[in-house]
Amino acid sequence: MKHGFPIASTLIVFVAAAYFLVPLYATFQFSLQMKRGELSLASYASVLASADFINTLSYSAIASFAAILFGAILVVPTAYWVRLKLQKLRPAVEFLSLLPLIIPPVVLVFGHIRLFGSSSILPLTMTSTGTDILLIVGYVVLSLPYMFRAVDNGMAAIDIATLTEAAESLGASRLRTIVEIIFPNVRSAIVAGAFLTFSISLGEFVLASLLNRPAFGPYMVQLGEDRAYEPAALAILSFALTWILMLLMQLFATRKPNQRLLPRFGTGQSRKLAP
Amino acid sequence: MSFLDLHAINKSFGPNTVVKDFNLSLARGKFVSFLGPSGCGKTTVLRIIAGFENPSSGTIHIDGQDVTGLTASQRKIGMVFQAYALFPNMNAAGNVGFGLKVAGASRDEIEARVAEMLKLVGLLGFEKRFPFELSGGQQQRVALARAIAPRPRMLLLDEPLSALDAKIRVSLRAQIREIQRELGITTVFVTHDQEEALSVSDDIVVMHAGLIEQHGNPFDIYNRPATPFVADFIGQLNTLHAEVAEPSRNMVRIGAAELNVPSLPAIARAGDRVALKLRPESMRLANGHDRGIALSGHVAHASFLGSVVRLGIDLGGGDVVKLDSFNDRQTLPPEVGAPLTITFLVDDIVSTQMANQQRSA
Ligand SMILES: Nc1ncnc2c1ncn2[C@@H]1O[C@H](COP(=O)(O)OP(=O)(O)OP(=O)(O)O)[C@@H](O)[C@H]1O
Ligand SMILES: [Mg+2]
Repeated sequence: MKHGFPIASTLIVFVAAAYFLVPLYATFQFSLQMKRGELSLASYASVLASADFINTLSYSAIASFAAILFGAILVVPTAYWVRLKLQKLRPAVEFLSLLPLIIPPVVLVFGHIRLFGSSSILPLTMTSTGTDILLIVGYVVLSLPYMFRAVDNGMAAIDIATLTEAAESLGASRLRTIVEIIFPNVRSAIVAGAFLTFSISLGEFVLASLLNRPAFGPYMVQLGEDRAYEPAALAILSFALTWILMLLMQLFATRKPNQRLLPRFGTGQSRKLAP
Repeated sequence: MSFLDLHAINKSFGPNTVVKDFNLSLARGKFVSFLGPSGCGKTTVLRIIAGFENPSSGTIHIDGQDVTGLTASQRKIGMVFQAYALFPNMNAAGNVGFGLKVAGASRDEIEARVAEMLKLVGLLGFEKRFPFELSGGQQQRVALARAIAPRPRMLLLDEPLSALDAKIRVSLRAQIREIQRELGITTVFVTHDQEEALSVSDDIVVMHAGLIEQHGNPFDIYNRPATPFVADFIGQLNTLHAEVAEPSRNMVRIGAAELNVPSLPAIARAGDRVALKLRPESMRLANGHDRGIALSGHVAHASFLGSVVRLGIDLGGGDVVKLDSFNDRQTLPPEVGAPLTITFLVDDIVSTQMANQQRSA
């Protein structure tokens, strides 16, 4: 059965698109108006020239990468074990992994400060390395809902129970099975979780500012208080960065196991299936 | 001394006992099939042998060694799964070489063995292919090569062919059997396809509800079923109803014909109705110079299956028997309703049961 032109749904799409695009366009336009009477990229030049921009961005990038690494090391074996042996606990673990969405980061960071403050047995906040660790741990927690979900979905796509048994019957230990069979097969899921983690923690404000870290989030806020045009440029820049990450995620997540990290150009080689 | 020994194995999942007092001894180099209806515990026993499942009680010995307490990775048993279970992140060579790599073999050694194994399963040249680039049959052959590459003590296969289409199923089962013979590896093969079991096995273990109904070679299983279940489960059976004439001399009566059957249930009394069970191929269309018992009836239905013509023949009294005859270019299949006479030998009666099921129990 055919209907006429879907007016209502088209309208909804346009309204929704406008809701996102109009502010974005307004911000973009504003960011070009730093020089009176002409459109220029001066505000972008000003942002990129600032040493604080580079320093805070690289600090946050490193912290985010560390969070991804620890997150993966924590989440992959956990999700694996829960799927393999503790199926009944899966709803509970899933709920736990969602807690960071319910509990505000402020609560988390004050918990951190109380637990690891100057008078605790493990006074992590007293050193800058210790505080870095707290920040990274905080990022791991914040990204848990996304990381766990991505990895758990990745594991749903392969028959991990049978693959594990196959590896075991070939003499492999559990650790070896995880490292050589499970990890590589959920790699694209980990990458997906990793990019989400990255986009959350790169501009994160609450944890970084309350732990007093020189991170990108607090820098953006600071800039917003001090300047007029640069924050708009910064917003557009970080928006572009996020989109680039999303595109990369698509690229990596859909890779086949035998593809190279980057597509090989020029050789024109292709693989044919046997009849 | 037997090679594989399962002694008094029981297995319960919660309140359900799915394997009951399972005893099995297998000689080295044998190919044995577990055959039985869905849910009878075939996979469970196989997984207990593999070490993926712990028995609730009982012991498992392989080659004289008690392996009951060993993990699957310590048992050195190759396993082939219904769903292939190839490692998706490795190519064929990586899959086949995995067990050797785990065992710490050198690169050269692995490479040589991988080539040898792929050659054995007819996939030389497929080293670089990933599982998603192989057909189901090819994947299963890689899985077989992977299982036997580390020279396991035994090979277990859990319905390895059921995901494949009919033609490949037949050719691959022959190939599996050939490879098994060549390597002389003791093998347990789980299937619910009786033709598969009959065609490849040295021995068949027929299982039902967690119990062994019969353990024997295919010829005996088919021709001398030990229990009514085995007789019914394996192959097809025709039922002829008869009336007991003289229990002491094993005499029964079908219409006017009196026949001396090989055996009668102990509880049979004169006048009781009994069911004689015969394989369809034991019955022939009368051609004028037959031995044995002749019964007449008419064709109830006829189907032409190509090489075989399958007739249903109504012998009256509610008995409709199946009868297969080979296609003959010169002779048209009989028409429905045509009168026919069939003959059989009393020695071909597989079993005689009380017609009333309650009384035979
Ligand atoms: N992990 C388990 N937990 C609970 N019950 C189980 C478990 N595994 C198997 N069972 C039960 O044990 C019985 C035997 O199962 P099993 O898988 O051994 O049957 P099978 O003979 O292999 O059947 P199929 O031909 O369908 O594969 C079934 O009733 C099944 O429901
Ligand atoms: Mg099974």
